[in-house]
Amino acid sequence: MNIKRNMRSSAVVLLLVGFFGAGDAWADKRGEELMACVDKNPARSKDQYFVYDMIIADPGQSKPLVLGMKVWIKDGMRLVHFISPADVKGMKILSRSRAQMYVYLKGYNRIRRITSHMKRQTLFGADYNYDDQMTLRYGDLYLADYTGEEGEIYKLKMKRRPGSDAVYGAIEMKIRKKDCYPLEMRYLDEKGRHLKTETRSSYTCQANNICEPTELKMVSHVRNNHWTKIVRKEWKVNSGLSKRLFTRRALQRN
Amino acid sequence: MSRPKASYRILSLLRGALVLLILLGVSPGGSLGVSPAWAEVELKWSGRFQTDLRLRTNDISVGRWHERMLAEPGIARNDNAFRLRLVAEADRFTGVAELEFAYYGYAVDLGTFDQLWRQDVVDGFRIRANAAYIEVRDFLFEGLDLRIGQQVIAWGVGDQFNPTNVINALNLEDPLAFGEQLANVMLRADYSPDGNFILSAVMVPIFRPALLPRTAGLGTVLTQRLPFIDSSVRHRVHVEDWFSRRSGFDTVLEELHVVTPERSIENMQWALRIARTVGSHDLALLGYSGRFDMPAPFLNYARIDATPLCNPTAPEECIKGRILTDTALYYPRFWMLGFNASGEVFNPMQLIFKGAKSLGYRFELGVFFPQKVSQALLQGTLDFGGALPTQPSGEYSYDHGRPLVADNTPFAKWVLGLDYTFSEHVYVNMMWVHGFPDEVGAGDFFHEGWSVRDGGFDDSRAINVGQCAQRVLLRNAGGIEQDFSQCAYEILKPRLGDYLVVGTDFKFLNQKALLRLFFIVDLIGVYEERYSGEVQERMREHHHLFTEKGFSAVIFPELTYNFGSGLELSAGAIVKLGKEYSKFGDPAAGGHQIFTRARFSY
Repeated sequence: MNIKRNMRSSAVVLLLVGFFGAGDAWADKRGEELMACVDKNPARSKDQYFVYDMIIADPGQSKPLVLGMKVWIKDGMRLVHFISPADVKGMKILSRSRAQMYVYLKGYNRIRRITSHMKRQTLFGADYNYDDQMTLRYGDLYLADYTGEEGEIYKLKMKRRPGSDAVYGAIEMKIRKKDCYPLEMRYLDEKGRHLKTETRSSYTCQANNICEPTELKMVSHVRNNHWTKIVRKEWKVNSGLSKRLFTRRALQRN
Repeated sequence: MSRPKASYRILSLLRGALVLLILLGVSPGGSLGVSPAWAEVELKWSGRFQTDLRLRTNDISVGRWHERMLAEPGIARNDNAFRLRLVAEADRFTGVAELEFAYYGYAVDLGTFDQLWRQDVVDGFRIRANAAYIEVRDFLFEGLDLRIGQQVIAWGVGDQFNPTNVINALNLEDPLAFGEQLANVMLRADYSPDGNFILSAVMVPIFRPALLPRTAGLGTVLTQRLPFIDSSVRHRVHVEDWFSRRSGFDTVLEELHVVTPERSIENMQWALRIARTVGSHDLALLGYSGRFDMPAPFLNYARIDATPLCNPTAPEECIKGRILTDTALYYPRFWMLGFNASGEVFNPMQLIFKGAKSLGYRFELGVFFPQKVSQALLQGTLDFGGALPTQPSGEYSYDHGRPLVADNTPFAKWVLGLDYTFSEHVYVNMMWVHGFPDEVGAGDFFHEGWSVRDGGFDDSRAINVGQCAQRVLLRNAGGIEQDFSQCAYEILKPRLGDYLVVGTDFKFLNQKALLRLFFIVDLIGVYEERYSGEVQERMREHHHLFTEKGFSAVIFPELTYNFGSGLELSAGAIVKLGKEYSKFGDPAAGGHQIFTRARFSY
């Protein structure tokens, strides 16, 4: 009896998959709308500039490593410039799009393209990889499913879009109901294994409801809860950044 | 972005000039700093301290007792360097200066008593300007950048091996800084209307030669490595050298003179590049007109020193005299067309493993159009005191005119590299290098051309001694052209070698520790060529890379630990394997070294 029921269920699933396509069968309209709302947030400003401290902590160690960095964002492009400590000072990462990312290695006076296989690489032992730092939009990479709500929070489960080069199998995201800013992201691999958890807290806002967290924290569960915190020190919005800041030529400038 | 007014531009230019003055330490106050009137000038500084200690573990000394050049086991390097980088920025102008001071920790040229009070001799040191330039953004119109002064332009996309990085000369002095280029004064203009297209032009007023390895001098003793393209000339010189040696006269390279190009408009170097991003590929076409940074011989002058000498440690070992040779070198012209591409390509592993990512690739191709170079062989009166017929002063009695040491056949050098990150702990980089940085001239599977790694009289055939001696006498006393192909042997390599370079990074201890393993293998090996009595012609025997005679490789392990806050300690070794005539077993390549390095960046 149970076997028969299971077979019927399987047949229904197969039919649905065959009709809607494997990818789309996973997403729902509500989820997609909410993810589009998340993706709209970076476009609220013309450009943004941040100064951050990146604190990398090993649970077994008393003294964390602190990296200083400046970040410029405009039109979906992002430039990260490491300013301290001295051995990483001058290193820069430019993301013109997900397919066009570069790293400037000061020691070699060389610009290297960040190819797909490098996107999982972490920098200086941090828990953020290249992809985490450079992903500004999720809709191109993931299909979203609305999974519920809780007080002022919506919950989404986003699964890698077929054919996309997203580095995670899925992301479980909690967003604020009022403006879709993410509060928590749980990163899963293809098998559903929980890899990392990122929390974004203490949001502050400027005009036009442009909000940014004061603190971002990524905990890696596959590295014995090793964590990295990014603390905002300075933030400017719509300061008139030139697009020419986000070019390979500009990367080599001092 | 709107264009600023002309008056504002002039003011901005004046400010730019002031930035340079500040960098040079001649600000109005006479000290390095920013006066209140120019408070908008932002001054940044950084640098590092570095100490290098290296030990050579094998004896690579070369030469016979009267020309011996020593490179014995011991301390090969003891550098203590301090680097300071200053960046001054004001508006669209930037001035950059980077100076490096290094103390060798020993006296470099201490030879006489009166040098003992010369601190510059006793305390060996060097100073190098890695940068001293002004940069102007949006010069004249938006998108045009100008950079004037001492700088490095690295357009190549390969890792360490960059056949198209020809604008700056190579720094081969330090094997651990392999691939580094020496800054030179030049004018560079870049026009980039958007982020995906760059048009660049470069003018270099004055040529700068490459810095050679500290052990390069050892190669000058190996006079059997004849540079001539024509094998009949080489065979004759090998046999004549044997014959004079047999008669008690050794050939010795006495002096090498280097002639650098005149500082003239004709000798300026030019380069042009167009770079564009197409999909996931960065592509560039480039052209260059200038000179090779490695010298080639163009003039030889031989003379006799008929002073008998005996080996002080083995008195029975004597010579009647020496044929002293002075050689002049210069830097031949060439022009190059280059193509660079980097990006990602399909990874065959994706057919098996779903999660596999594309491979990163880098391809760099340079097609060189070199200048033809012949070598004049001059001599004083060569009076061997009756041991051999006296040769009059003048030019060597060539059979077919001055021999070529480089012809004008175009040749190509390239690097094809693939890399992949297996996990956050393991990264692998592989490259096929066609043409090492010191290899120039046509000689590969497109066009035959050889470089001589070893050679001399072929004493494996008993018949040779009498016949070959007679031919030398007939040629030099009688002036009759002779065939010396039966008398000489040579170890040859194609002028452009093929090398496999594999580098692997293992990161651990939360990426604070890096174990880097690097291998370079000569894929071709060597060819041994000599006359075969059986087939009545010269035969070439290939000793491939898996044979004792043909194998040559570099193994370069290095362990680095980053303590944070700018402190980094490294230790490692460079092991160079192969016979003395091989690419890496060559004494001039420096032998095996163990090294330690401490670096503190600020």
